[in-house]
Amino acid sequence: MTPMYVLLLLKGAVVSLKVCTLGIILGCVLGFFISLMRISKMKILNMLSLIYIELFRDSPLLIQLFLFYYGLPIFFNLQVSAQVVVTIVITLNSSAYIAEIFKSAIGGIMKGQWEASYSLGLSHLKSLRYVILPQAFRIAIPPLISEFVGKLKASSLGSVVGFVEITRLAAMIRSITYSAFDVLGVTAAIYFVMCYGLSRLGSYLEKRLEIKDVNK
Amino acid sequence: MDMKSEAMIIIQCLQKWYGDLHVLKGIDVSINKGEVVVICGVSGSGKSTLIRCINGLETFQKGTITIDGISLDTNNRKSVREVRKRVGIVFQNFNLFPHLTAIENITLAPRQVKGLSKVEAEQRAIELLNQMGVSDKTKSYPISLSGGQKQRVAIARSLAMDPMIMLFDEPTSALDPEMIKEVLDAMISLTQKGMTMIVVTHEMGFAKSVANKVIFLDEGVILEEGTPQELFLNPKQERTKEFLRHILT
Amino acid sequence: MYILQFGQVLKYNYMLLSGLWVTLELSILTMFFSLILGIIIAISRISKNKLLSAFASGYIEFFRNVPLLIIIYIVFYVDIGINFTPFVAGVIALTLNSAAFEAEIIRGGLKAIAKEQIDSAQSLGLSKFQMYRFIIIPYVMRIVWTALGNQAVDIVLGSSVVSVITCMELTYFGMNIAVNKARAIEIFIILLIIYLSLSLSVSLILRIIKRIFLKPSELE
Repeated sequence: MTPMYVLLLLKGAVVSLKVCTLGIILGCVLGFFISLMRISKMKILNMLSLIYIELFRDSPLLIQLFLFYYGLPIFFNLQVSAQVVVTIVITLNSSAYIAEIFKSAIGGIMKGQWEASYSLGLSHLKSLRYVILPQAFRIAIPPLISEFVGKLKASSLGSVVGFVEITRLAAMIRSITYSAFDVLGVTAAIYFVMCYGLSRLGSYLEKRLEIKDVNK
Repeated sequence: MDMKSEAMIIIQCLQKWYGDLHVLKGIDVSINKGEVVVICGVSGSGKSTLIRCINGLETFQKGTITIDGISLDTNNRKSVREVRKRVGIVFQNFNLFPHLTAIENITLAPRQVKGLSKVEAEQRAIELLNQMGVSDKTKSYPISLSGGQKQRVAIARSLAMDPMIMLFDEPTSALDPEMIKEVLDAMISLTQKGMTMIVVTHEMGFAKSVANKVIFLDEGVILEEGTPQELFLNPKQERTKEFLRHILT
Repeated sequence: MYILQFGQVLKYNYMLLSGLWVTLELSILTMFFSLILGIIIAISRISKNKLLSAFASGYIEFFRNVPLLIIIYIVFYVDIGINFTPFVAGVIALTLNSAAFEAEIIRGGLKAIAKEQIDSAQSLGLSKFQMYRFIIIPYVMRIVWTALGNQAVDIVLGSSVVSVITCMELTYFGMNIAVNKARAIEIFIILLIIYLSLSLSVSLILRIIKRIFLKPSELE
């Protein structure tokens, strides 16, 4: 297990990180709109978003990867790289989880906030924008970080459809060097540092955003 | 010389059900401009519900509520909007926006609903904070404020929208005893400015000193109403006497 | 225009059935063992023994931060003198992985019980035993049960990853059929439907069990 291999794995880790970050950011945007659909009073929007969410949450990510890997060229005539497929699947899949996160965060805001807001004359939309969502966002941060870590781990499945990232490199190196313990050990360590590090970063972010009582 | 004040709020035959529970069983009340009305009664008598019907936070199934000539219909968003422009409310639990400072809490609605500029809104907010005696807490967040301070900021927040009528839903019930006075004093200063107020409260001292009318609500109906003197010194109904005995001990 | 032709792939229903059976075996064994292991780790985590607690904590953090696929590779490929079959390796990896998450869920439940005890201290004249039996434990159990239910679904979905070490469950057959017969889309759509049914069934069954055994008590 030479330093060259370790460097290679690290490079693969960076690729995973990049793809995940892009996927989660896009997933947040998409998830936001889906959560609005989910809490909408219009039954059809409600139902469609529910189906979407259940589809992505109740089926294996690996199957979703295969579906898009084979489906994109066939249905949309798109010849895309495995990296793009993985990015798309991460975006769509995380948007389902993120929609639920937002929905739950918004639901967690006490009714009195809505009442005060309405009583002051703010419309539903303005109430959401200035009163409810800023609070919901703060509440949503821990589960969002959790989702990011989850997707970072899940991105390892991209290796199965040919996405060249750390896990795929690990498999390749293992087949060359036959030292499974070394390769997989280093890979596990790299994932650990990334994921654990992200969780800690999240905790730090949470603390920074917290509004503290100046009297305490 | 016509000294008759206009009736600002007219409630007729108001009835409300929560599912099968008949909460308000026919309320008739008329409140004139500048009047201070105190509503009292035991828990569950419907007093909170009544006051919340007035600004459309609760629906009602029968009867009418007319505010400044506008008929309130909770199904008609326009009428609700118009009513809320004229009616401010202060809640028992303050309901301040925790992610905004005191001044931001106060300027939010004037800027977003009335379109005031930041400067104009802040000017008015500072005036109100002064009036309420919390000018030193302008940039503080609600979490750093005491209950009494929070409630006074909440009052200022509602006043910033220049309502004609202020509703108070048990404004001091969630406060520690030492802070009740500061909030009541703030409310009294409001009455001296001629604000029309409806206050649901147990604070009989407040009622005695500033109320024009006291209404005793019991099980969804107005059991007795009159001036504070009439009600406190000469209660006619048994239940009223019982209630007064209970809270004055 | 590509027209979906399911007819071609339905010929393989014997493979899919066989794969489904293995998936169920994997899942149920994992659910069983991981629950036991999870309880042990949860108890270790809150134990006063610092070594035990630290070990449990390390275990949980490890499996929370390392992907399932890597765990599966480690169990299967790292030479510790025993050769596991793909199936056994799969069960071991899934169990070790799930136990970490379940330990956290159970630990959360145990903490909640302790907290509720403090809150209900000035309670309604019930004996301590009654308070636990009728109020605290049912309440906490309901929350824990729901979380464990989600974990159970994750186990079923996670079983698909074991296909990479050639364990012959559903996804493995799916991949093979897709590669050999070029009817990939149809086969994966079918797999999608099967997994969706499995997930929803597991959720439903567990919800029904919750309703039967953990009815809200009138005292709450």
